Amino acid sequence: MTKSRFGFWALSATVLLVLMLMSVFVGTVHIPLSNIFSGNLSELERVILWESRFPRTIVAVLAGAGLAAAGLVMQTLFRNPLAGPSVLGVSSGASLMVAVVTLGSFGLASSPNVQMIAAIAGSLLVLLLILWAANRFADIATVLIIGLMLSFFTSSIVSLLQAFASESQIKAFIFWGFGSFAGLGSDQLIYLTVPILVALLASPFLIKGLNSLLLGEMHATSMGVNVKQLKLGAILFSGVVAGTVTAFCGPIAFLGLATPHIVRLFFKSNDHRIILPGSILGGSSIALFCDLIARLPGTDMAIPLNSVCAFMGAPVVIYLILKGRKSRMLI
Amino acid sequence: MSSIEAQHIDITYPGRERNLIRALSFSASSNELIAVVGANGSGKSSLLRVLAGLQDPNGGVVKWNGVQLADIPGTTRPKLAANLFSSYQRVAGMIARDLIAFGRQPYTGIFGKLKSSDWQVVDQTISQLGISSLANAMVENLSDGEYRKVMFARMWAQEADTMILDEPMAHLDMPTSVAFVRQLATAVEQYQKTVIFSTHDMPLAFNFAHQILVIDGGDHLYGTPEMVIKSDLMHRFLDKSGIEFEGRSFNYKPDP
Repeated sequence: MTKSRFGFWALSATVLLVLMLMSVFVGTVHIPLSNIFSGNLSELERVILWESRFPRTIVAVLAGAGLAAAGLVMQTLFRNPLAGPSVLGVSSGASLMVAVVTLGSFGLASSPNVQMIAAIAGSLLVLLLILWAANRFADIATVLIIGLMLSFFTSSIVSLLQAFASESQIKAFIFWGFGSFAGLGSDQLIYLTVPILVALLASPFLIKGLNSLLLGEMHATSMGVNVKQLKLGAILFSGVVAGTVTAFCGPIAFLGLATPHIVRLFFKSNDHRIILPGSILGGSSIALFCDLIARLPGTDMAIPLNSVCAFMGAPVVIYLILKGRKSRMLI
Repeated sequence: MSSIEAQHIDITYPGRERNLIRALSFSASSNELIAVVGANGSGKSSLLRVLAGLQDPNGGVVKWNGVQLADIPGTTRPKLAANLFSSYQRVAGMIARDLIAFGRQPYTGIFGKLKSSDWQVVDQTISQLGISSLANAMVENLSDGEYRKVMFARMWAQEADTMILDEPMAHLDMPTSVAFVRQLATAVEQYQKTVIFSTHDMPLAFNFAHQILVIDGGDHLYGTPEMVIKSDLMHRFLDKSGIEFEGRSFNYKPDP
């Protein structure tokens, strides 16, 4: 780093901490802080905190962190500022399998556990296909096209299933599509935490290769980077994150695509040693913030998470891009 | 000390029956500036990619410092030879000093963190190449010539004894092109580097390079400018466009 960014890091960490605390302490049911700190909680308050708010906070932190980091990696790998974790088609594969079990006549309609298992199966299938493509074809653009076409293909099957499904089945599927960080109890947290934590802990090993990749594959090769290994590692990382998040939270839109841009402009850098951890912190914060809004604290209502993400985020990104025109990722 | 040697290199384009380059052999060592010239499509860029280890030849062997390229690990190669190709993507969102620091990546650890000694090399490079005024500029605000200088500085920061450049003066105006070639000549004469560059600027190549490698129609010739200018291969290459190359100043004029 050519200049100290301590102030930026301190601010990011502080914002994340505040949002995490708000996510635990703020909600429809008011739980006095004094009760929490003294441990003098009613059974209902204990259940709300430990089975709802705390798991939800952890899920938002990890999902946001993972999706933002995966989005960054995809944008650098494909040299495309519009790329996100969904370009591989992994989340579409998950959506397809959820559609099959929810909209098909299997009688397992809206069981969340069945949806999760289906989503994991769908995302694994697509991930294996994409890894095969990345191993087979040297040109990364081919992999991108295959991923995008898989998304279109799965969408078409989902539409077909929707056309013949019942109203309640369609409603269940749409509800899944809203996205939510609230679907996991504390005993299920481990199924999301482990894959995403492992992926995030492995992600720094991509930093050096991704930086070299900014000048192109030939440059990266000339600097001693094993580009094929890098591509496979990046795809595996993003696929695992996208698949895991989609399986347990539904298809979360926008976070993975927008957060890296916000982070680049905030830190004024394209160095992955800064913007990868920056995206992890930023993704967590943005996810928590959107989830807080979606919960509409103080009311009995809630709005879809995906709506909040895109509604809040798109204008922010447009504003930042226009304001920071000189600090674009690509010419 | 450094050297680069090509032994019987064959290069073919897919779908073409005849080799683009046939049994090409030459060697270059420290204190030598070699210019590769030839028509578009003659195989200059392919040859430079083969010499840089970025493309496998269809036949033959490349040696760096007497060692076959295949026996040199990928992580060691950037410390021996630096290269600059026109296909390298133009980046944005960083200052020139940070882009130059990319040249130190082969010397960094697993996460790519630069040590203070690496930054010293970066700053020394900036002052040696006289680009201090550009160091803190955002790279997207640099002109083509300035960006080219920064990319050259990135190569320089690699501290490799061999440099391979593919058409480094493309799209540059004449004064900037001359200044660039002078910098290559300085690298060779003052810092004992081996520098190979391809160019379409024949007067520049013949006036500054110690050796010329001309490629035309699968044939090649390697020699001093004075020797190459008189060769049948050069005459064949130039006759096609009806220009005459003047031997003493290495300048050209159209045929009357």
